[in-house]
Amino acid sequence: MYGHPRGANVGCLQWIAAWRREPDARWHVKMARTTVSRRFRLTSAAADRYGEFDSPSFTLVDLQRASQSMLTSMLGLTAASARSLIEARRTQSVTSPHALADHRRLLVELRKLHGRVFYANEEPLHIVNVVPRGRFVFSRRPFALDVEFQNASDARVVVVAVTVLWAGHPFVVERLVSAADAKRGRVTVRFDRKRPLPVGRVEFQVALYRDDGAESVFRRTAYVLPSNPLSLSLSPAGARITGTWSARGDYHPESDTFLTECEIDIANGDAGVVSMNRRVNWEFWDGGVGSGTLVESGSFDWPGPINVPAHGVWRGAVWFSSPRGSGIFGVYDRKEDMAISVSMTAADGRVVRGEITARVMLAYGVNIIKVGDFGAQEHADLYDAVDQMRQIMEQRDITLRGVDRRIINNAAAGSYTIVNSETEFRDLLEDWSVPNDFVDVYVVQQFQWSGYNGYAGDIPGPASKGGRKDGVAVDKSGYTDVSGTARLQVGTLAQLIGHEVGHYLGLQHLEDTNNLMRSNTGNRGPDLNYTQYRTVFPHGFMVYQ
Amino acid sequence: MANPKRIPPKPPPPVIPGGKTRPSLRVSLAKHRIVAQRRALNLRLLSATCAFSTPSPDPVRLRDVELLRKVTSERFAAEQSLLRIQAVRQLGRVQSLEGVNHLVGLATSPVEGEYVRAAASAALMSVSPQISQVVLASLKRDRSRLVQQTAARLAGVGYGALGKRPTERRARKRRRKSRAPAQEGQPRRG
Repeated sequence: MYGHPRGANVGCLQWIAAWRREPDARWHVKMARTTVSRRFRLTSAAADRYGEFDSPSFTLVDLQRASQSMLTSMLGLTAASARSLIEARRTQSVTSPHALADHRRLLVELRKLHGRVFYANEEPLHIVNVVPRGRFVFSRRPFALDVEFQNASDARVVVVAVTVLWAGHPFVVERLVSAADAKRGRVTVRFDRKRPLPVGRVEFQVALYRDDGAESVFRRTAYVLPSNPLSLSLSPAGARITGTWSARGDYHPESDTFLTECEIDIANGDAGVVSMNRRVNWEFWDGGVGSGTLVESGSFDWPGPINVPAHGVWRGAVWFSSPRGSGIFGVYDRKEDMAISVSMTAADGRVVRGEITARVMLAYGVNIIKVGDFGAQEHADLYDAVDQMRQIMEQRDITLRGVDRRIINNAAAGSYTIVNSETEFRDLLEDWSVPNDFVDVYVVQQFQWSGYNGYAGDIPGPASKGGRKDGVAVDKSGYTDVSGTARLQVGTLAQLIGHEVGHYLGLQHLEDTNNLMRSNTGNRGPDLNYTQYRTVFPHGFMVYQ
Repeated sequence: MANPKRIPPKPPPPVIPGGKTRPSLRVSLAKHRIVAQRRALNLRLLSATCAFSTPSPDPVRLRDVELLRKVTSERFAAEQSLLRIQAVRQLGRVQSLEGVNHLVGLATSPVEGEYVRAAASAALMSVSPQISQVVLASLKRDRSRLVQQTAARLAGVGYGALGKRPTERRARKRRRKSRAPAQEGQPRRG
């Protein structure tokens, strides 16, 4: 670091200019270096169940036929409620919950079980579970998924379709379901040699169709294990969605440093635990690793032992802190990309290495404004959705510089909890506003307006507050889960907020495959292209430090 | 504001072993027309959900009622919850006795989630205001605040004219500055 006699730290060119102005001052020269300011272990899920928001695996219970022990042990009904239900069944068929109107206590319990039971006049189709055959998926090898299902109808299950979300473009594998498979409630979907997957996270979205048009869907996330069989990969800290990424250099004005957060994933495709040496070597390159210019490098020792579980993933996070005057600070300051390389060695001598691009990102802030009541789990889901939305944007090198948490409680919100017209939406924007340079995002209880679920004040929205255009509103996408808890659909809400904020930042609808700005919520994806990135760049709420 | 003159170059695409595409494998649905119809219906139900898009003038037809009822009864997967609510809303656009009966059942269900019941109440008002008045009267003291609010507003002003009341609007115009929503503390984890 170049030290100014009056105490200020300055860059190299500024130092020369200052020296020319004050040649007689007493100067000292001290080179600043990047240090690893934090390193810590992250929890890791099993490789065959890697997603936080995967579909739960459970069996539906037929209320008309379930025995008392099934009602109490599987569903958790109290003994009195189970007896009450069985008594009701003796006098009439339980065709719908309306048939139990006189059994108030039972209904209170059934309300929590509404997503797990069915009535006599219903014929549900339900995917019970999806598991990779042999439990794990390995890179560069064919694999298969076993789909287990329940069908309470005479109509036959005929088609299964699996959409694969991975680091590349999504693809679909479908097959017809044979009569034998339909009868036994299990079908296998095979992925042949033309469709191998690389190491990393993959999400399978499975849809099953019956020949009367009924559909059931299921989501399963897995980590594709290396078949070589040890690998190291880098991703931005906290990455929870599929895709390809850059790590971001975050400028911290209070310490005048750039912070680079990076996650290290070591995947083990072997059936035995792999011990790693604790030494971690890192390098930042300007240009390609090995072919560009080495900016800075170093090494550190991991504070504890590193044991990669059998058929599993070990995850750790590292924070690189680069003060002004360091090489990495200089490259970030010039808005140039770098490549980070991290290498480690297994106790048996195998060397594994991973790379990722690091760059300064465009950043905007959001005020997340809850309109009306949110339960504790809905609150947690909302901020998981905001986190996922940030990750979607970060895949196109746009990040959040802040999330301000706000609430308009039920009493103050009045009729704004339900948005039912453009006038009401604009009244909401006019009546409420957060006086900062973040985008106001109103999360309302429900849209009851022409089938819409989100809207933005304008394309682009204003870069100042006040008036009837300064924000976006989205439906909170609520549902009740299989345990009877009020939840928000995290994946849908993440894309919905990202989509409406995208409008606010200047993006029009774009019907490209998997694009975030598709008008149809059903086939929207997490992609933003480079032209869209250039479009949002000039918005007044965008910062690129 | 970011300086547009400093837009960084497009980053090089990451190298993915085996390339970034894999071929899709589709089956013919010629023998399963209803499956094809269902898929098309799913797409129609979720199209034009952003208010910047133009809603389709005829997203559902009378022949779709049976499939719509099926969609609204698929309550076992979270991934289908948005589709389900959109199907409930579209049932309110089709003049069908079965559809109305189904909406009444959903709106008054003693076990159904409040989002579906609120959407069913609104859909019922648009397809059959007379029947909905009876249903809404029974929902004004419902256990769910969202259903209560929906019922009160629908019963008061009718669907399609659900603006704020004139007195509220005047009060709003008198207000000179917009209010800032209250700040929250640290989030609670459920």
